[in-house]
Amino acid sequence: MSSNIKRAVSLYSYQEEYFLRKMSLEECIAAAAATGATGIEIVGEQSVLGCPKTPSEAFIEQWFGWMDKYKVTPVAHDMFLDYNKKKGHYWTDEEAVESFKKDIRFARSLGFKIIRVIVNTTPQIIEKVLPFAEENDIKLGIEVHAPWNINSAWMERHWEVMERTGTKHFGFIPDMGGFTRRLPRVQIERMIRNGADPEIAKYVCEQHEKGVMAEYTIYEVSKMSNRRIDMVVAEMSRHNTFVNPLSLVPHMDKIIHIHGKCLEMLEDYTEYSIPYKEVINVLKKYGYNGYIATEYEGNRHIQDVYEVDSVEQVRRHQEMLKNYINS
Amino acid sequence: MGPLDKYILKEDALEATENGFQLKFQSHWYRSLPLSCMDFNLKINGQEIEKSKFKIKANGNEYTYKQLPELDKEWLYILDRGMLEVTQPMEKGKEYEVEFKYDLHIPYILVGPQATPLLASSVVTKNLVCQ
Repeated sequence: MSSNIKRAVSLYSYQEEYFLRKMSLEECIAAAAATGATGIEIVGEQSVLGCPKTPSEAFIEQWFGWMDKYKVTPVAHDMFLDYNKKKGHYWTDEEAVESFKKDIRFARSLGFKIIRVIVNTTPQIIEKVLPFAEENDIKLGIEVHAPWNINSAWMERHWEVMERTGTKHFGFIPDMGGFTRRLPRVQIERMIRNGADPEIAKYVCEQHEKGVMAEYTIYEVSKMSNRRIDMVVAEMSRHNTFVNPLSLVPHMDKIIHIHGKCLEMLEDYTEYSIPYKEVINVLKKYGYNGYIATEYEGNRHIQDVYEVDSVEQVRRHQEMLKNYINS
Repeated sequence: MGPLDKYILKEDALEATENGFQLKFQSHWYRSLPLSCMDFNLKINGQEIEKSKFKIKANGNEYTYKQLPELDKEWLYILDRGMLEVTQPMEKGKEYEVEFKYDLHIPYILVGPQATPLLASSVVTKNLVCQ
């Protein structure tokens, strides 16, 4: 089965440098393009002032100018549903749908063809917004994010909507964080710097790597320590899951995009926690067609002791993707 | 703890004004949020400032602390700084110990049986020279 895997970068990856104004939006796009990636993904409310309002004509013109200049394509916008912006007021489905439509208009105005739908969005809301997405030719992809996996009951409910409606505008966006075989070292080390017991952290890492169910590890740690921080370390095993990459196979035709999560790219172009080669081999063998977008997220765990270099982390991740896609 | 919590207060964050002082802060979250999702506590030299004294400024607009929970349409962009203005005298050029607790109630991450927004809270303690 032939696959066509393309490479993108989520500008979320450069959040540290962008936040500190070391890099402008244009410089983030340029850095992504310099890796050889051809697609751009954004978190709208991070990259574009005023999102999800439709940007001004001047911004739109500038945006497409950058796309041409750096020879990249807008691929995905990440949307969120702010259910509880006011204390005591929880959005109705209608309010959520209206917010969703704003994101669709926003995405369309900047040329994005895919919206990454935040994982807690209900299938009912997606079904209500689908006709509008179809009219605007925007594909919606439910984020398959740990602790859920593509075969979880929650995802099955979304799958039912895909099947029942037969739509071409709704699918899955797996996050590579769902294949975390080893707990992220940068995260564990940060927890130890924050006061977690190193021996407990070591135990949790070993249990996770052995594939022991997180709930058992959490229970064992609760007997070892009554400190909250040690429990947080144990709970990392619940929030950084590993499932067999073959779990993607039955859903391959419904995967519209992939988030290439990475927390620590090593000098040898591997990710410390995630066995990318295994996952990409499955994607290639079973015919995935779409982008993998680098999503570097390690900054938050190292910024207390190291200078963050997101550009280098993204570059290594893109090199790794290129190597595995082409091998 | 937020993903960018190290950078909430810059060295020039504390500034004397005609009526007192203002503290300039930047969000520690990766995505812009409205003011209604925020809360603040401030101590100067160990002394807690009464919240009713806060004036909150963002995007050229000014609000009382009491108005904060209603401000769901006033977003603070992640690259912009908001300001807390307090009518309490402060001496230009003098160093103060500032303890700023910045709570963000993340409106799209709902946790627990009551589905309440995740609390991302950061406390910054810094000695800052009043500008």
